[in-house]
Amino acid sequence: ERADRTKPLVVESDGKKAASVDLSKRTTTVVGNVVITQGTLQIKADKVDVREDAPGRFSATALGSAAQPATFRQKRDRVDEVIEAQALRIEYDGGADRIRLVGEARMRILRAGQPADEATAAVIVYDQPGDTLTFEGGSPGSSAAASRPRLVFVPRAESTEAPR
Amino acid sequence: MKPVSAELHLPDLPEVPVAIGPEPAPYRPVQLPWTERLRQALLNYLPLALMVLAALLSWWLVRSAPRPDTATAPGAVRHEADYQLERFQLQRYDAEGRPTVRLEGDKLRHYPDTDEHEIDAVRLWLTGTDGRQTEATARQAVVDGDGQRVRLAGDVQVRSQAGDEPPLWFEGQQLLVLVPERQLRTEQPVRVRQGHSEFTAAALVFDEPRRTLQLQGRLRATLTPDKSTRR
Repeated sequence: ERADRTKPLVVESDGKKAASVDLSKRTTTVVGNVVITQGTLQIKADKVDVREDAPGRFSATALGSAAQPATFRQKRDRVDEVIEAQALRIEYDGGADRIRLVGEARMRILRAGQPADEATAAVIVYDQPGDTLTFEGGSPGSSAAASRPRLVFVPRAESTEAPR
Repeated sequence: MKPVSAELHLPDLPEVPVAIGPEPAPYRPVQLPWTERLRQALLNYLPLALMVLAALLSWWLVRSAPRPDTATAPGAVRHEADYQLERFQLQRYDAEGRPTVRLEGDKLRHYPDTDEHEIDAVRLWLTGTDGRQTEATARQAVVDGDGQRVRLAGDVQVRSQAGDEPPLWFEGQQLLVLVPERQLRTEQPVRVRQGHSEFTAAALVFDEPRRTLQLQGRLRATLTPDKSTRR
């Protein structure tokens, strides 16, 4: 949701491992089942680095692993529409309100709980202010399958419904 | 035995050979009956016996007298203050005369057995050589003898200011200040605030010279974006 942007960003961990904060570099590193929540936005990962680029502007990098990728979830402004995604690395840019999913990125849009549009790509960028999604091909090294973004769109039940 | 004779010439008396009688017979112990000898012996040796008895008695007395402790053992010195201060202020300077520690409090009690100062309603200022300022207040503090460690307890608030960085606030029920190492440690829940960030954790180590915070246990960081600075 657009309103998420002004809400506080909360980073929580299970506390098994110590988190460290470097005050001079203004970075915080949290490890172990980390959950970032901001309004309806939620990112889960093994390891999270949060930076305060400028007073009040935070950006975070959530690192997952192949076995357990970092996940992203957010409700959209449209009624009962939720975005779910996962990738090896999720970069959240608080200043520009942009989410970048890098590495085996998969994204799904659920309407009323039912998976609708789906996409896989090397990199997916979700620009919240512009409400746009861009899918980038694989980097040279990645395998053919992962290199071509693949999008599946499911027409809405009542196509006449105008997005509010 | 020859009788003893003596010449005695008295003018007006006819010369008469004088003899003092026969020489006394040589002394010959009289054989007394044994009971008499026993009594005699007893009588004779009674004083000696008494003396021996007295000696024994005094020897016995000495032996059974309660042995005085070698040195009075330094028994547990009771945990009691040996001096107190009220509404005091203590200031400590470094070699160059710059203030390093300033301590204020309502009451201070010094305990000799642990060589600790217990202070009520304490306020503490630490100034680093590089100008870093740390200020702490708490309901109670225990400072060890040479002032290296300060254990703060009870609504502890610590403010650490370094250069141009926004001040760092610590709040908790217990915080240990290691003065020489300039570290803050606690094993109890603590809250740390700085600028737009706030952290709560179960335990913490703050290293001021290195400007790092280690937060243990369940961590919760709340970062409040300030959208006003956006373009």
